[in-house]
Amino acid sequence: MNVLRTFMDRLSAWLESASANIKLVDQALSGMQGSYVELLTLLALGLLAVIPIIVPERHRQFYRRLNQCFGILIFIFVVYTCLGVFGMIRNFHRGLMEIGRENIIALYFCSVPLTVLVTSMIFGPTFCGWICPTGALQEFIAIPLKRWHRARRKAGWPCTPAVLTLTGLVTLVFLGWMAYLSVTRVFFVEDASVYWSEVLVILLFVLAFRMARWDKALRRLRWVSFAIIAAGAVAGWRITSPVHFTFSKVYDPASVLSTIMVVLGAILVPQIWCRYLCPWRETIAWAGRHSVRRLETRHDTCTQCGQCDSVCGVEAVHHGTVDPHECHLCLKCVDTCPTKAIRLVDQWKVEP
Amino acid sequence: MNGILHLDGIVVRQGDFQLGPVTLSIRQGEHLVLMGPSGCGKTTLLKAIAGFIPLDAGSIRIGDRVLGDLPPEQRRVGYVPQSASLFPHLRVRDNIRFGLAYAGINRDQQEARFNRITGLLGVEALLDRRPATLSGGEARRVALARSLVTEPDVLLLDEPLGMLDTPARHTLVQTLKSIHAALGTPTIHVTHHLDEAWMMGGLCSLLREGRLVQTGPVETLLLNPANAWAQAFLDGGEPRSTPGATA
Amino acid sequence: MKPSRIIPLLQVILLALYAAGTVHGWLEPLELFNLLMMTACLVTTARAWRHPDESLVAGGILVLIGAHLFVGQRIAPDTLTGGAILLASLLTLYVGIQINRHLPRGYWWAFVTGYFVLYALFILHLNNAEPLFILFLMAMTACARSARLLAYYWAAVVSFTFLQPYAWPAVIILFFAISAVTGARSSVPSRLLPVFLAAGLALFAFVLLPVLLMLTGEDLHSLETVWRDPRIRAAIGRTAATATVSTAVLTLFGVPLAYAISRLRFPGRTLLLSLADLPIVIPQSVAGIALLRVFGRRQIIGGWLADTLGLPVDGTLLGIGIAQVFVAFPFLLRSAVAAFDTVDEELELTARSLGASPWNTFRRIALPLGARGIFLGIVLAWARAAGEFGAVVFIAPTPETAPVAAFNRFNSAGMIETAPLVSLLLLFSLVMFFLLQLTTRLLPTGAAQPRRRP
Ligand code: SF4
Ligand code: SF4
Repeated sequence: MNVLRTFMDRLSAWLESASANIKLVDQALSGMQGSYVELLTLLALGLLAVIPIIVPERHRQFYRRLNQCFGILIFIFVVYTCLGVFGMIRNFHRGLMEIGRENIIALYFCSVPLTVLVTSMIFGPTFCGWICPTGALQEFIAIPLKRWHRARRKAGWPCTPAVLTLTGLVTLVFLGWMAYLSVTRVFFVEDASVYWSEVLVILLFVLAFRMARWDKALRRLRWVSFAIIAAGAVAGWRITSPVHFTFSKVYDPASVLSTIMVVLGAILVPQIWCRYLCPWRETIAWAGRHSVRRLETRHDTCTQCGQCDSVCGVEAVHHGTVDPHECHLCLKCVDTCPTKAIRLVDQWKVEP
Repeated sequence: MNGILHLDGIVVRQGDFQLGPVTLSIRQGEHLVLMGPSGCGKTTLLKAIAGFIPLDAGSIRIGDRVLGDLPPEQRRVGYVPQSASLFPHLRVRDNIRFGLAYAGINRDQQEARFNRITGLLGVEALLDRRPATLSGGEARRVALARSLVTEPDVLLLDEPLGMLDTPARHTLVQTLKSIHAALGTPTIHVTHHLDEAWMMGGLCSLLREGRLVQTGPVETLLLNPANAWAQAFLDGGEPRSTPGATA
Repeated sequence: MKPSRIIPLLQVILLALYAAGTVHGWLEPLELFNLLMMTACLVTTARAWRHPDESLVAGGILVLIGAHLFVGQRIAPDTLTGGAILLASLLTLYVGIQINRHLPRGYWWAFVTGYFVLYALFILHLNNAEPLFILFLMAMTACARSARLLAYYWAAVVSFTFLQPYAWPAVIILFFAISAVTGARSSVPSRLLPVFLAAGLALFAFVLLPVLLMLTGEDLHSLETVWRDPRIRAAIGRTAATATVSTAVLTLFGVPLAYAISRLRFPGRTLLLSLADLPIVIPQSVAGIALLRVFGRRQIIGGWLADTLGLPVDGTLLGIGIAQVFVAFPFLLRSAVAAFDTVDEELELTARSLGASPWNTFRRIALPLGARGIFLGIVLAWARAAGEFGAVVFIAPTPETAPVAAFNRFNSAGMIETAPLVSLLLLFSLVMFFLLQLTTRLLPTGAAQPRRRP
């Protein structure tokens, strides 16, 4: 018992020191003294969002990865705003309330979410597929497991004993850690939020066994998530986001835990957070519905080969038809389609 | 058996309209089709027998029992209203069981009756459905079953085939015939379609503006109509309230 | 020279001015972003030159560049701002060109006008709001493709700039109004109905505003503080208890009465039904005084109750209950009568002929089928009873019920202090409201249900 405790103490001390200096720069970059760092965010986000349109088709997926890495770099190491999906909703509310009172603060809080929304509304939900650090982390972790995931999807996400044991173990370890944290640490109010996100993730681990059947219904959880965060923003609760710790300079065990859970979840189910829990996804999907670009399938050339189905990380394509509400616009399906049946089209005309 | 229904000069007044005096008797095993144009008082007659409308004169007897002022629940008269009127909040099973609780028999007997009647009407497959999901024909069957489990002395059917399409009508006629053969409950079957009388066979009565015009086997009625109006009605087979207005 | 060439020419001149200004130091010294911006201008100008039919685009670009020139001078002169402006400008240009090419002319005009309105709003009207101008400009480019989105957009802009402390309630109301009006469909084509709807909603907004304001104004902490206050808690508990008991009593007498009224025809039935509405029409204070006139300690009945039975009415829970019953009565009776009216009498007759006694028919047919309406009546009555202030305060100023407590607190401590309590009470009412909506959907109705045709 004691050994374990020492080990845990060490671990958390190490984590603390490791995450304490994760920011590359303490101040805004020196050349930008006196200017609004937020404008850089805006600029960077805008450029990152435009890149998907201008990159050549030939190595598009490579550029996408590059874009994602750049996104992680910029937002984790340079910019000081929480780009965590909760933070964006919470900050947006706060920023909006400051307009007319403290315009600079309003800018500080509004710039990121607004830029993301605006680019999504014009260029489609590229934020999810090309920029979002949370999404990128989940994608990267699953790269080596591509084969396994494809096989499991073909088989309808079976729950083999191995998967079951794995999940059980993870849950146990996680619960132990939670218990440890709650006895050794005085939880801040914001830390308490860990229970919320964790309970949801655990729930997902359990539900993931019925994934094939409950997939559609579970995706509605994102609404619940959104409602809770939005209500929280208005009521003034602080709910930290997974991956939040990477954006701030404080060591935040709650957020570390959430991040770990999200990443582990993404090992079991690709993009688990995006599929079932991400509240920001709902807003992006809404914005994307009004966007100019959309994926269209020419059903006369589509041979129903099913390659797009298997390549999509969020299972947004079914027999060649893309569900715009789920699509991250990563364009993997466009690039894999052997007959080029799925195309990216511009639609400026508004349907009556 | 006390299953003989006697109507003895019954009169019901509703505003300007007067039903009767009507005198009629139906024996055990008889099936009477009561025909007449709409507004002639068919439904009123049924409701009077069922005890929903008080009589202004005359008397009703079933066997030796004088119904008189008995409330509907003590008359042992099965009444199947025009639109089936299933209880929308109960499942089919509970609809059929509704009357059993008041039949004064124990659980085993209730069960036996329930099984016999549902089998007879072929509604076993519907038992767990909600009335709103039933088709018109199915709803009529369930309504019949609901009434029959109480083992009424007399069965009153108000337009049992109304608003059904032809195939459903035919199957329901078969069902009506078979249950009549099996149970022999004296039945009054109200309709304004001649072909129903023809399909059901048996006795037939013509009602016009509250009065009986003629009673007898269908064939007799068709061959020897009592008067010009009956002739016209039977020829047209359509409800007409004004005599002579033939096509 | 063809007129279509004039605008691009002007643009070139402007560009030259811009460059000259930069070089001469009227504008900021040469900066990377300024250079980029000029390049962008050049490119678009060249394009406009080659496609003279798009001279309108060129005109728009011209206008935008002029504006940017002006804005750039006013905004804190630094690279990032320049860059952000560049981004926003490029976006604006891109969207402007596309709108001009693909959408009806009206959209384009709305776009350009919007630009200037935003400029006036953020650069001229609000101080120090230049960066916000960029943000909102970008937001406008996103919404410019659809009239409906634009309506939402402007509603949001107006709310967040002018109606600041009330921004959220205003946004909610405006959004609701816009979606209602733009989404309205009718079977008869009519331009009048949406106008009626909009006008009505404007009034409704005033009713809704205070509610939303109270709800969005408080944070959790102040609510918790209020909830911790034992006096408040006692008041809330007392309100809930008395309202529940009064409603129970009402239900016990009111539902059978409603059934009787619905099924029986008797002389004075209409009179009875209209009299039942009396508590709604009487002013609450009048009702309170009238009740006091009967049940007060010095009055005959009240005195008798107090002295003989030992049940004083004024200033006690019993008094609260009586006042609540009085005001809540019509709500229960009305809904219950309406509910029983929807229950088809044929069903009851059928039940009777199946052997059910009148009581069993009532219990097994009328009551379940009227359940939704009755439940609605019960909840309305409960809410009315719990919320009653006027009648209660006369007959029983103490012990305090929640509305009375809010009033007393307001009198002694003022608006700011009362706000959290009011929010709390509002929250309770809303929870009740949603529960009501939810449960009533689950209960059966007696109204004819759709029957599938065979
Ligand atoms: S769904 Fe959420 S977490 Fe996933 S990529 Fe989109 S914003 Fe990021
Ligand atoms: S549908 Fe295509 S573009 Fe959308 S997320 Fe799936 S693979 Fe990516």
